[in-house]
Amino acid sequence: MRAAGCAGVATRTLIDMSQFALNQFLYDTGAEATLAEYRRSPAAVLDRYDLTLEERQAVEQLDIARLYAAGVNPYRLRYFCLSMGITTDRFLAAFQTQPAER
Amino acid sequence: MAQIVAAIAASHAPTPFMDPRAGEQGGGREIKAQYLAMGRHLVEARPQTVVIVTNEHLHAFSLANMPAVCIGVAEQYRTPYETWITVERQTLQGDPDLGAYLVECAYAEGFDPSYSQQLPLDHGVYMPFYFGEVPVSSFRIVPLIVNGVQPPMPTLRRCQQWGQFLRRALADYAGLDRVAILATGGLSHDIGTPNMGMINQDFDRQFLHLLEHGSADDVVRFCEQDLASAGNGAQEIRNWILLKSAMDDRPVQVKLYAPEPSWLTGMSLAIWDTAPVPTA
Repeated sequence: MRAAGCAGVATRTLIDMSQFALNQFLYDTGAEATLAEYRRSPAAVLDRYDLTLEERQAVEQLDIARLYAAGVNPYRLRYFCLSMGITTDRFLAAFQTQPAER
Repeated sequence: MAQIVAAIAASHAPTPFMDPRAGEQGGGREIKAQYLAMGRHLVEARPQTVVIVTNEHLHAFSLANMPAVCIGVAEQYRTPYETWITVERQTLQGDPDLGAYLVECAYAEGFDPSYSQQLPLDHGVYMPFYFGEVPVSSFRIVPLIVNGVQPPMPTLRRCQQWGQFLRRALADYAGLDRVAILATGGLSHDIGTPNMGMINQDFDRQFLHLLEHGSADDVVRFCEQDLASAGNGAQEIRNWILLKSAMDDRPVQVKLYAPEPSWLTGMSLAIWDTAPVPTA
């Protein structure tokens, strides 16, 4: 639905609450302490987020194409991957075998 | 009345933090030479405070709270924030007086920025200083953070208005004699997508042509039409638009354009003529 006077404004630029949890996980692990905790005990950190089973599995498997398709912010996806040691080549290769729809 | 003694737009990229030899190989050599020249220009201008117009990459803000514009009013800032960057962390001295002045002026003029006394700063702020070998202890900073990474984002036209506001506000500020503006970000690039590595050189060259030869209006109109073709990272061009608008009546020279594939970004530098205009 479009607000009057805002012709041309897209209505789908915001994400839903499930994607919020996934994005918030990626944001929080941008901080050194949370990243270190995630490296020590990933399940304990993931338990704090209201993720769907699919989202949680995508994180646990570091399934880049699925995370991208799930609607995470691309910067946070890239930086989470960098913090996990994923190079640019490996990042891009992840899209070779799976569709990149989102 | 603060005089603008330097006005610089510079692409930012974390590349030099990830590869210590980034400035020594291929097109990186020219990028390094121009960032060093930019750094000398900034140092020789002797700013007391540098207003850094930039975006941050979801290190300070998240979908829990996403300001369109946030002005830093902290005494100090730690940078770079990224866990995957190994360079030594720096503490940049803030100028909370100018920051608070800009916030209050903005409210008085119908702008509604957020403000922050605890603002982690990432490569968007630190990379031009680091790569340009700028001694960051020689000035204070005020970060002016514009959302260029998470839709929805402030319109390009609003960024132009912010530039006009910044020019007026600085001209009226009695707390400093010498201030610089450094805008960082862009040009064309795409981060964290299957198209990462894409650089739209046509977009970049047209943008830079208009930056030098057109008005801020021309630049905004062009970007409103074509920005989507230049990748998600090109949304950072808001910062260039803001500075172009702040310096709209002054000549600007593009010092660098290097669409270097290994940098994943259209690397560019532009420096405005800030010499005092002689009065008739």
